[in-house]
Amino acid sequence: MRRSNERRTGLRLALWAAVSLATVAACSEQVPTALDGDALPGEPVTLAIELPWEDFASDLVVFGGYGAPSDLGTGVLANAFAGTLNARTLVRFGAYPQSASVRDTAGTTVTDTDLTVIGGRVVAVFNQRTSTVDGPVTLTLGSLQESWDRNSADWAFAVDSVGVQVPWSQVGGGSVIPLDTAVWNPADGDTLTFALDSAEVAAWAEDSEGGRVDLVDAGHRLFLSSVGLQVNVRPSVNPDTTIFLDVADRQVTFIYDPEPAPPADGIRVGGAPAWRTILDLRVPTELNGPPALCDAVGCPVTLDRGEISYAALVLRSRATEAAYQPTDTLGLDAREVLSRDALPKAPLGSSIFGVTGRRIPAALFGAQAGSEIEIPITPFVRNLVEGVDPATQIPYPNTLALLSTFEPRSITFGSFYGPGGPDAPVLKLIVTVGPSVELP
Amino acid sequence: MMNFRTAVAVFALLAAPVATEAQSIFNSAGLGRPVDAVDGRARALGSFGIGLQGGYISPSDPAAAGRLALASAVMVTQPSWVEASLDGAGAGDFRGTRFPLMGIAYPGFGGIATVQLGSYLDQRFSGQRTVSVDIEGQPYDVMDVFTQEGGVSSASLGFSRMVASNVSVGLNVARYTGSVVRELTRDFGTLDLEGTQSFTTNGRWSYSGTSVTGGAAADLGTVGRLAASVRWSSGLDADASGVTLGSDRSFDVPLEVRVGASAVLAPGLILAASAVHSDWAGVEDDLMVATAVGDTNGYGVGVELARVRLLGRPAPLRLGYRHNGLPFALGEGGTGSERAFSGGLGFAFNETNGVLLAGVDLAIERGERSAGALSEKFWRLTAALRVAGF
Repeated sequence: MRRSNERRTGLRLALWAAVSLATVAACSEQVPTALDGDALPGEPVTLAIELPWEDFASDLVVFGGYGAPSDLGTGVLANAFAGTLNARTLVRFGAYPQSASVRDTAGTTVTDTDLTVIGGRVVAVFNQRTSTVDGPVTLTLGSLQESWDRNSADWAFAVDSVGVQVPWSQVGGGSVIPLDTAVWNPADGDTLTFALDSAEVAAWAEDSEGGRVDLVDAGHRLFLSSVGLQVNVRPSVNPDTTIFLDVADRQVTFIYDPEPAPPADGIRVGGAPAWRTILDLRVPTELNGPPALCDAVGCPVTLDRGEISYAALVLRSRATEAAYQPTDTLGLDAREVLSRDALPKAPLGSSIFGVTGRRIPAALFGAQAGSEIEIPITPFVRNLVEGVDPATQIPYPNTLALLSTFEPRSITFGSFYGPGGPDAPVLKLIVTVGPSVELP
Repeated sequence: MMNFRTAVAVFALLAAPVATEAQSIFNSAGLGRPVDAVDGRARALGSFGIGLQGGYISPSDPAAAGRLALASAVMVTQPSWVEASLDGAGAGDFRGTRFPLMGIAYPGFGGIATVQLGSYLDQRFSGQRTVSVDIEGQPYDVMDVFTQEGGVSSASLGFSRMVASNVSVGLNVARYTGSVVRELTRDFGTLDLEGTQSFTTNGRWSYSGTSVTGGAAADLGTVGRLAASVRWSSGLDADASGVTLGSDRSFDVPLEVRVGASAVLAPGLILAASAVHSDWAGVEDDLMVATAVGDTNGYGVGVELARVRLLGRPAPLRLGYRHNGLPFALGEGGTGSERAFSGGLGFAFNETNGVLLAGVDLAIERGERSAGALSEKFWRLTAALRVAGF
């Protein structure tokens, strides 16, 4: 009898479970899709509008000096490149390794702290893709003799910080004691080695001023991905062995001349230190054309932020001065300037495009100068149309900064035509305006 | 009683996350698709929820509550699975669950008072169309996606009582409730332009209105039951929310007449039949989109084998058929209709002296809705939990 009751209880639960499962299965909605187009509201109108500079922008200004070459951690070498540019790379190394894991004469690996430096080498790795060289070039390594500041050293000054200026004894890094000369042939790879003897390595130990790499052959511009020091040491536990140890601690920067003058007109982005271009934007909130829009929804049309489907600043590239012409893709970023009054040190908002920015091929600043480049700024323009942030009741900034995605990114920079000519920037808008949604 | 508690828990669990849902392309026509707020027994019998034996809670048969002996409650869940076709070719599968009826009845004032919440119009659907836009002289295809969420429900208070030994009457006064959100989004994903943002325009309307349903049911001897009800409605008002640019609207809701009867043909064999008449023609002028409007006239018939037992308990077996019109046309296809064969059973979890204290009524329907070239075949499960004596 009890077993029968248990069986019935089980069956009832099974019945409920079946009903529940069926219900749950149908709970994962698949909404029916209408087959009749009349069931949908009237079609919105989408059209593109181009506003000339005078109708949307003003107060363009270019600022320079953001960041320092040392922020890159890489080097640049140039000798009369494009007839003008000279650049040298300065490098200083920290403490050498004090110990190493070495296999002793019995074959056991031990930590040896009694190392004897017997020589070394400076290893330079070039960026072959961006370096303007197609054959062997000669480079020299010299030992710097003057104290220099990694963050502020430039062509004329060893130290050039606020309130302190110490000029080099000779412009371009002062005098150096030559250490080695080497030839880099790009066909052989991307690495060049300068040999150092034990005395030279010892002289470069901690607290020295390090060295300077110069390009001897004129007419080239080379980018160094890295400059490192490798020391040869003889371990005490196995004197017959020589091991190579990398010096991890190093400071790399480059100095160059001439520094580019601010542009007389136009837009500049990039460089090291970096350039930024600032401009104010305004967007009409009421449209009285074009006819296609007026025909569709009637004019004037008061724009709402949601009706801006796409907004882009359309720039036209121009040839950058040859010495600073990019040889690598320029990542262009656009950010809100949160307080124009605080320029050039005004805080910026977050990137409008994200981390990668708008990628612009280098050729557009050289052979393909004059190309049109769209910089999408839809969220920024939507904010301008809205006017005031509804959450804070604070007006949205109307000042935009154009800058490179990382500052600084390279000694090179991109140039664009500014206002006042046929190639002046324009604002491209794709506007979608629809009739209000009504019940059937 | 453990089973009863399990059943209540399962129902509560299922009811919580889902509001009104949609189950038909016909939801996109006119004001939507009418939904009958009836329980599992009526569904299984092909009934419009009127004229059945015994006492029960039904918005369309207010007099039936007067025959309840105890405080009672009913909750109905209704999943369905639909296959649509257009000109014989598949046009999509979809599924959904709704809760067409929840009601409670309690004795008082010499009769039975009721509170009921029932579905009335199901309006949920989505749609999309490809539109060619001209950007600087170049045509591009973009996608318009439209979604409509919501529907109209009816919340009612009622009172019913026996006015003679064989006659009960009832009256329900209801308010239309619910809302609908209509949203159109133009997606520019097909444009090869970094940074485009979709365009969205929408509107939200809240429904209101009043309906009054009066009905009477009479026993014809010891074998028959005859019932009728009439529902009158004020206009169905749709008030646009503050930020909605669309306008307020008002729609006529037609008078609805239902009749139903059931008869005990032999011990344990019950025949039930019902019909409904409702002409929606008056709403045609209220629609902005030209839509052909028809009626929801229908009929249903079914039989119940009341003496079937399952697991030692009463488990009446039911079969039925039902046909009714759909009020709004889709496109130029004219108004359509819905037809369904149904079957089901009841199951008593707890019954004392012939009075059901807890039970479930299940119905499964296989049916078809069609209008012109459009056809939907569906499976629809209805499960109603009934409890009494709390």
